[in-house]
Amino acid sequence: MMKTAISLTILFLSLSLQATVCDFTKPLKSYSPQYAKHFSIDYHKNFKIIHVDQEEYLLSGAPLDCSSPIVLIHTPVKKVVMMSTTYLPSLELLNVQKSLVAFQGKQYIVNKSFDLNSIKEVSYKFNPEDLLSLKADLIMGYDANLSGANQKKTFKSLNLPVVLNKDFEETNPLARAEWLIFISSFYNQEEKAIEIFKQITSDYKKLKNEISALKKTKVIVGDIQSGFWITCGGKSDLAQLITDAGGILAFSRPSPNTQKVSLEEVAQSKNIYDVWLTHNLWESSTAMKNAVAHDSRYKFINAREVYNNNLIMNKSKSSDYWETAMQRPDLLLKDLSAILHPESFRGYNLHWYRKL
Amino acid sequence: MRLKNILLAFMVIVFSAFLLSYGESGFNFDYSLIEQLRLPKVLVCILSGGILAIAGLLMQIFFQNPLAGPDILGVSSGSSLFVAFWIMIGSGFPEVLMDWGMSVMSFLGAITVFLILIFFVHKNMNRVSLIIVGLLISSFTSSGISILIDVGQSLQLKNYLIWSMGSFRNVTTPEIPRFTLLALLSLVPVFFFLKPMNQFLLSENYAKSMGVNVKKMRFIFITLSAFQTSVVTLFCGPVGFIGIISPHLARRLLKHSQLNVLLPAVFFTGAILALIAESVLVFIPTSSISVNAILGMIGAPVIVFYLFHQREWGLE
Amino acid sequence: MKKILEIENLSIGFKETIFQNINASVNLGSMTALMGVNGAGKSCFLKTIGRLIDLQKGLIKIHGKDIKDYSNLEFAETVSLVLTEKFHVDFLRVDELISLGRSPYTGWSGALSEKDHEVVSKVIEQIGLLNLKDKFFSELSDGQKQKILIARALAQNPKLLILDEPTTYLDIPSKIDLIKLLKKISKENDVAIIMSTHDLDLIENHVDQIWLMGADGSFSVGSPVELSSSGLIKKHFYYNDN
Repeated sequence: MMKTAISLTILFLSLSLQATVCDFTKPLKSYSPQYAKHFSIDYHKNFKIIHVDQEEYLLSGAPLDCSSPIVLIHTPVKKVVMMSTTYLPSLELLNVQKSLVAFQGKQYIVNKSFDLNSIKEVSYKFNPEDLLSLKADLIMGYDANLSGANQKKTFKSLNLPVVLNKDFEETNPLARAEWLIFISSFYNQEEKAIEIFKQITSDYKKLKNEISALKKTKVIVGDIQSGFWITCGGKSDLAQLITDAGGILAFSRPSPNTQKVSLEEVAQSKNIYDVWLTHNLWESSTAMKNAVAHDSRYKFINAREVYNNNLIMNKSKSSDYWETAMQRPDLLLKDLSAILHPESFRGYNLHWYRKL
Repeated sequence: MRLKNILLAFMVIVFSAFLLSYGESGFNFDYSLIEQLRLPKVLVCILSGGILAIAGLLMQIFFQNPLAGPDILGVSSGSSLFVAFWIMIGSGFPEVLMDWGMSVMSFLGAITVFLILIFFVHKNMNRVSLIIVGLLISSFTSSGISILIDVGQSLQLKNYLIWSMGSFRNVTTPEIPRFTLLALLSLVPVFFFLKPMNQFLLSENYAKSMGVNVKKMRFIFITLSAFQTSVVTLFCGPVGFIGIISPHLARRLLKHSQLNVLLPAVFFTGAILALIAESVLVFIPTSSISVNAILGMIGAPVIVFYLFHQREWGLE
Repeated sequence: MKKILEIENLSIGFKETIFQNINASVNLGSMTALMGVNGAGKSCFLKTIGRLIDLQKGLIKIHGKDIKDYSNLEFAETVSLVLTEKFHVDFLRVDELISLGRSPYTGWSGALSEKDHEVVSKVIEQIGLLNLKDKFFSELSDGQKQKILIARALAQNPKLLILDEPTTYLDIPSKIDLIKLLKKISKENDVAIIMSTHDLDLIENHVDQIWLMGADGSFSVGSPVELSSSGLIKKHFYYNDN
């Protein structure tokens, strides 16, 4: 009788304890992003929940005993594994580069504030055994290496703290930058991140307003690949940036994705562009001239100026543009504005673009 | 039969004329447009399609196997692997060395796959198993290519990915002379061996009993079809199905097997298939559909049709 | 009678020797049946005579000349073969296939001369293929195909015709028909014929000699009567595999 009473009491107590710890019902406050569409953060008493579309992650400083199907992450994270270079600028802004213990594709890292020797290489496909051995607090990746429900089950059953980052699905430049706050939440540094993001936003808006009065410039973006003109979509973040920098983008189709335009259309448009932004591997105007001589179809691109986005490269020729530029729309907008309106930006040194 | 060959040639001209006058920008006759875009495209379609078809025909006769073709036997993929390897190691080489080295590597890749296939044929492997070996070689080489991509660095990787998509629009006007030269070099010798190739129709032993120097002919068959496959793979990337279906379509249309009459028809059929694929692309300019996807839509049903309607396909 | 083929101390095989000490000869215009249990090496023997397989030891002479000394074309103009292996060609007409037999005589392009056309039509008539000559080879029956392959071999205008199991896939009437045809050819064209077969009852009245490859490795030569009376055939054909 007594025993039963005691065990019942314990059961009751534990149940009630759990209920207080894992109360998902009403968050105390929430962070709803201003621009980003794919994440939000709910703050509860002892923990926070991050939503990435349908996915949920539970972040807590103390060990929790929730039998919830949600992935648990202990914050602040000390050892992280990352699968994309686009997360690295956030680590630098938060000054937590040392937490990066492993990375997918180390040779792509351009940012010099990371000590590559102390970072382990992990495979492109999520490899549970490999990742378990790292004993990381957080593993952040994107759809391509996280796909499949079975994989998610594996992560859950192994308690692998795998988190999906969807920054690349954002189509607004400021929305991309806002993922800094998403990353900061794992380090409990949201306040600092929000501060930085506010600065980025206001710098961006200020610059955009300054430029809006200037004369519009005609811009063409892209390169020839497999006999097609490959350019950015008219609803992509780059297209938005070009518009905000006072440019008119050629072949701007209403899509966020990369567009394939037939060379005939390009040739037929017969426009003369003020600026051509290429994402090629050319490092000098000689290299460009050689390539253009080799592929005479480039003569259909009549542009007064050509800029390539590979001013900062590491030794394996990866460009910092792909790593940092989209996370720093304030700086990228400045580059683009200077390219589009050189007369108003005399003496400005470009950050990512080089003139060919 | 001569008439049907002329009809096929006429179809090649019709499709070429269409592609020369109509493009994504509609009907127009802008000189630079035709010179820079349409002419290379049409020329590459005719030569690549025709040569792939001939390569398929030679392989089908050589292996006595109606399912043989440059793609299905893994010969194209052998080319791809060797070219990928060359791109990885040759990034610092001068451009001329890089270009011709790629031609050589592409050929060596094709020959290597041939030697592997011949090894299995000599082990008395049956025809269906040989096709399976070809498919296995393809998957082996694509694994090899992924490994090379993994090992290689980003710059070379990008070069390779652009090359490996498979397109008749890769060849630019300045490259046309080199492409045409290699294409004709791989094609013309075939016409000097029509007689022994006809004798090979009755199997190698019968050819030998009729006085054919079989060792020499084996060398000719292998060298020519590997060379043909490698030229097309080098300039257009891997292109599927034309090689395997063109000989069957041409034979069925002409109701003829002797090569003096069949060979032009096979060439024209391959050219027409390539031109059709490009013509479809003109109407869907914004999609990311490749010529290989269109050729697959045409080719796979044709093969299935043949497998159903030919009770005796000599696959025993 | 003039000898066309002489075989002395011949050993045959691919890598390992499968039969040795073969001594035999064949006269022009005669018919020889090669018999033996399955696996004795009949096919290998015939292909060795036809130069599809290299001989291992000994000597084969045709018209008194070592076959190794013949050029490819010279040999093709003397010896022709009908093989067991099947090939598949769609849309190859019968007359075209038979014409291929003329290829040792044609130029580099393979175009037929007046004389080639003559030979081909004569062969077609002789074998009785007039009604089939415009048909496609792949659409015919096994018996018809066999006749066409014989016609092709004859178009080669050989002095020695070698047939590997020509009667195997045929029904009894076709078998009799074919043997009679071969007999007629050997007489009319003065061609020596060697054929491997299992059908002793069918051939014994038509062939001039039988070569017997024994299961014990012995090679016997004799007329059908001699071999039957000596009991050798019974000894080596203790089973009837037809």
